Amino acid sequence: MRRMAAGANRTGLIIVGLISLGAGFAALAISFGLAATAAPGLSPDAQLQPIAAVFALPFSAGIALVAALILAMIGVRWLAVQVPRKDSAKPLRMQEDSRSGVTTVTANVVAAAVEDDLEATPEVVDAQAILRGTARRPELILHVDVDERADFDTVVADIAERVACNCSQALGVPLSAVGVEIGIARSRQRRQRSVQL
Amino acid sequence: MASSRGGLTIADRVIEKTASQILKSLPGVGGAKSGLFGFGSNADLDSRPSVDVTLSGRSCTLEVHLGLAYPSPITEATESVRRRLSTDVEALTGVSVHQVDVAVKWLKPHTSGSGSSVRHLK
Repeated sequence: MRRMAAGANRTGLIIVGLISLGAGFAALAISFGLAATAAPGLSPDAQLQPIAAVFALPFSAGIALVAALILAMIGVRWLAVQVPRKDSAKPLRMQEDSRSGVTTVTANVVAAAVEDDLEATPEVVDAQAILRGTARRPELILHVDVDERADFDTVVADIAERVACNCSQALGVPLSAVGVEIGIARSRQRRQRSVQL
Repeated sequence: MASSRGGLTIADRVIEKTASQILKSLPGVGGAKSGLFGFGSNADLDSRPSVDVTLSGRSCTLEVHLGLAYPSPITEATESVRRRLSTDVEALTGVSVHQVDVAVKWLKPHTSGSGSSVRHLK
């Protein structure tokens, strides 16, 4: 249902890996004395004091602080990306001719209607819906919790024949994709306590 | 002279109420029952949608916040709303409607309304 930050994680790990690989090769080059030709003084038995002296500037602390802040911002950004997100569609603009006015409906409004529609299905205890895509190519992602004794085929058929068709009819275009995830509701608190005849 | 008989001033609130009442008469179009300070308001097909009007000379632009019956086609329903407002508001108030922006705030399935914990025997 919710999208994870797998792509961002892969990108971040590739960047960290490349930096670590570069640092490793640099350390190997220094230890084997290969870096001495490119940077005199970087030999395995060299004193590092001259190099350290280069960084002993009056504003070194400031540079370190700025670098730390940048790293912290990257870290916070990475943490924020880790939060699973719905990636709902942007507000749908549905008018034929915008000169006479615009019609907007948010993905959450459509999703709420689909959820209500789903919960009208017998044996469905709870439902969540997410509308993704665009007004011309909408995609519907559903998660339904059904009674443990429910007939899954009936539930899936009802979703395909009624719920998805209703959503498509409301949006005025066919759904380009429908994803359904079915869970089992075992909680006793959700058990039906009454029947209306 | 017509000016000697006095002038007619129509407030924007009048146009808002007029448009809102026109929308209430449309089937499958509703608003929200207002709660206390916005809390407790609920969608209802029998309530009047809210309308904001922006006057510009003798024409106006309407911004409508409404709910629709689900699964009626949203585009067709809102085009119907737009046509009806354009003709009726001008006919009733004399102010022409330039544009009607519609924001659909909720969609209410015909089947909802019964408690979700109550199931019907078939």
